[in-house]
Amino acid sequence: MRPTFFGIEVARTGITVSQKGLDVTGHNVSNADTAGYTRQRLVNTAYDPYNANSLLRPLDAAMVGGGARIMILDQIRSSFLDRQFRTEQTALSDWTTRSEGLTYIRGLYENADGSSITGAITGLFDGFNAMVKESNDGQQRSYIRSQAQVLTDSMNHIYNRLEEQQGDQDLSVKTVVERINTLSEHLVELNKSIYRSEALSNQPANDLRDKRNLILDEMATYVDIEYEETMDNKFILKIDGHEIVNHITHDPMTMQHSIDSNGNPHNFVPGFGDPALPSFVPLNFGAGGITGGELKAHIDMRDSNDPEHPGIPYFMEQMNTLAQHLVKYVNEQHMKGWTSTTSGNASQTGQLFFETYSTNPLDINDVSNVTAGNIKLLQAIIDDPYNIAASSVMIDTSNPANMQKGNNENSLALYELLDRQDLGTIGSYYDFASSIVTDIAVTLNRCNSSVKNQQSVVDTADNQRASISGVSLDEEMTNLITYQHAFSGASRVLTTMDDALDNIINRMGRVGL
Amino acid sequence: MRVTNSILVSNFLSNHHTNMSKLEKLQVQIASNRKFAHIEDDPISVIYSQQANYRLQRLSQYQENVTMAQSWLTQGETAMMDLNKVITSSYESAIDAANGYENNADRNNVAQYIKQMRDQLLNTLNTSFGDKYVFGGFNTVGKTGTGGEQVPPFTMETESYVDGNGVTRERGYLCFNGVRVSDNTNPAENALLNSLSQETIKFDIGTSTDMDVTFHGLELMKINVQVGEDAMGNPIMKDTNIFDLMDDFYRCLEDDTQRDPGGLSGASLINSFVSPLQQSQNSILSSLAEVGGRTSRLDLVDSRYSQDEINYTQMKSDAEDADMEDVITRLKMAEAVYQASLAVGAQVIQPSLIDFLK
Repeated sequence: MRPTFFGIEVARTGITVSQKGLDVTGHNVSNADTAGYTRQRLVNTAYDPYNANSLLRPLDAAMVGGGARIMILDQIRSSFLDRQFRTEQTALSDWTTRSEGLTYIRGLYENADGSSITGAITGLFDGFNAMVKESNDGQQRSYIRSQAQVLTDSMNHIYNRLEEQQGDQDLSVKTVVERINTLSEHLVELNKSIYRSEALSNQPANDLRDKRNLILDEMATYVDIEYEETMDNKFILKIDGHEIVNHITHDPMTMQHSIDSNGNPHNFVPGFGDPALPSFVPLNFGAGGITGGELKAHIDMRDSNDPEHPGIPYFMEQMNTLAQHLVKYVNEQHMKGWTSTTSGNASQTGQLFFETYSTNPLDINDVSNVTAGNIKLLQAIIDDPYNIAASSVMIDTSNPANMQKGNNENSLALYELLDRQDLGTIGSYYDFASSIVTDIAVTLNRCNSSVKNQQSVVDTADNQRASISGVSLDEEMTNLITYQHAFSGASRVLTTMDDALDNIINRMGRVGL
Repeated sequence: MRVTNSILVSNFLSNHHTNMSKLEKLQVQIASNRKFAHIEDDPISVIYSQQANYRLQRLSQYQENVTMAQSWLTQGETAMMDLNKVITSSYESAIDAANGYENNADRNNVAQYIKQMRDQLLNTLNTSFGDKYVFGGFNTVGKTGTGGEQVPPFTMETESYVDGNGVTRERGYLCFNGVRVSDNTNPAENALLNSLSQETIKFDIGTSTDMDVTFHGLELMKINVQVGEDAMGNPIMKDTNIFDLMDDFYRCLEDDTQRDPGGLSGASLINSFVSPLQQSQNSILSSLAEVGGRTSRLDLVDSRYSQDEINYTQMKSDAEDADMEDVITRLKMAEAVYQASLAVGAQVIQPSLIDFLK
């Protein structure tokens, strides 16, 4: 037997489904450029004929289905493409962060004429040459004094800026770890909401999942992430093998740190567990652990001394080596000479040319404590340039053997230090200074190429994601028309059924009335 | 692959970004005439540029040194030519004086003339270049004397003695840095003078190539002359200096009781000065020849450096400068591409189905 209101019921389901379709289309259109939005699609099925499998079905009546119903409101997203995108994004943000750090360092070494360090080195020896030609002239000696100060000032400046930048990278480590923890807290909240919503309604919580995916995208820029959704709908996020989020349990990242000379915390080491206990496990950076992301880039810039993958300590070490060789060899030669008596002081030998800001006396046989930050010109020379030892013999105008004010042999020897190719571990002064500059140029060039290449890989992955999940306005408009027509059609059917029933109810059996 | 509006927009934006970067790079190249704006844009060119710059700087240092060395040497040369004139006129006087020995008045005139020549010799030894003494080795500024006066490296000490006629005469001794040079029997002082006479000022005119730019007055003055014959007719040789020779000559002219170690007197004594004076002149001339040699060498070095400068400037320009024609052509192309991409982008991202639905 066909139920009386069967037709109306069928039409009603049509109307409901079309209305839902219009709502979904409207939602998609409104969110066409929302970040991270995945287009949603209504999946309908037809109702089976109500008595298709029952014992009492009529044997001769054709069975008609009962209309349409919504099966699921699904989002169209590929989790494989998501993983691809996140992996590439992690590598990209590593290169990008490194490039920013290295660009700052490059700015320190470069000035309008090409380079500040190499120019200062040739300037110093230019000064020695001037003194070769005029050993007794006060102006030439002032010139060499100012050239030497330009060199030490440049080195101090570069070293101090590198130290500051190191401090900035250190603070960035702390900031990134804190951000990761904030994001993972949000993730826990979202996990709760998604789980509850999906358990109650049996429909995927589309917009909440979009939010979760956005969080995962951002996390991927900071660090390599591994995640999975288990069979019972619980979400687990792991960093370096540690479960930072397991459904609603949150094990935040912690940091160990030391205290610097001003009492402030520095040298942050991220990891998991209580930093005060020996059970603290620091993060493993490198193959098998964290291989990319902003956190690794900041830590590399802060700590790395590796020539293949240099960070700030590598560049500081190069500057220190230059300073140490300047102090050792220039002082060695200078100490062999005698100062001038023109300002009224006695002529002296064994005098330093470069010294350090430290209060410990300088031992030229052990220059390992000299850094580019503490090298300076001898105070006695700053006060009086006649304290530069140009002469190879003591100067004393009262003694015929010592009328040596024109003696320029020590200045000549100092100038010819520039020609030497056998200085300690650096070869020659200019070649080493020049190699410092080309080192940063080559490193930054390589890094920038990697950024460009990786950026196009990320763009391709993102485009593929957008291709699957993005909203196309034209498509939505077409769907809008489809649903609109379906809605009109279903309403028409309803009207027709209503008319038919009206016939049955109001006009049948009125014979004789 | 399903293409959405957002894909079109993001492609447009990323290509737009690429085009803008290209334009920016070209613009910087044209405005600054440099191939690379930053050192990481082209590390190979940076290496060449640094090498070229370094060579040019060293070259300019050496060129300055060569110029200054030439000035020093020229000053020394001029002074040595003066010495030569002094000695030439002295030995011409010697020949005249030997011939007219009997005429006392003439002989006295010549004696006074020779005395002036002797003093001029001393003066020339103290020639200065600017404020620096040229022939004093490392004693370029002299010293301040007890009365506040400037004491040059070469000075004369006088000693009086009584000649054979009972007349008091003065003998002049050459001193350097206050140490007596003539007839000095003190071995320590002689050793000191020997080591001081080797001091010359050097400039670096090429990679660790030093050139002496001064001569030492003591070396210039040194001669080894015959001062007479012994009993068997063999010459007696003595190491002496030109100043002493002039002083002896002067006193021989004035004082006819002078005898030389071989016992000569009178005209033959005067005649015996001619040969040593000629020898002195030869000595000065050979020093002059050496100056000439050094200045020639400096000229050669200078012209080679001028050529090197051209080469290195070319190398620097190759490494650093942008090739204008190339860059401008590429700029025009990049501009055309940029405009085309903007036009196409505008056409493609604007319309959608909504415009066509009524």
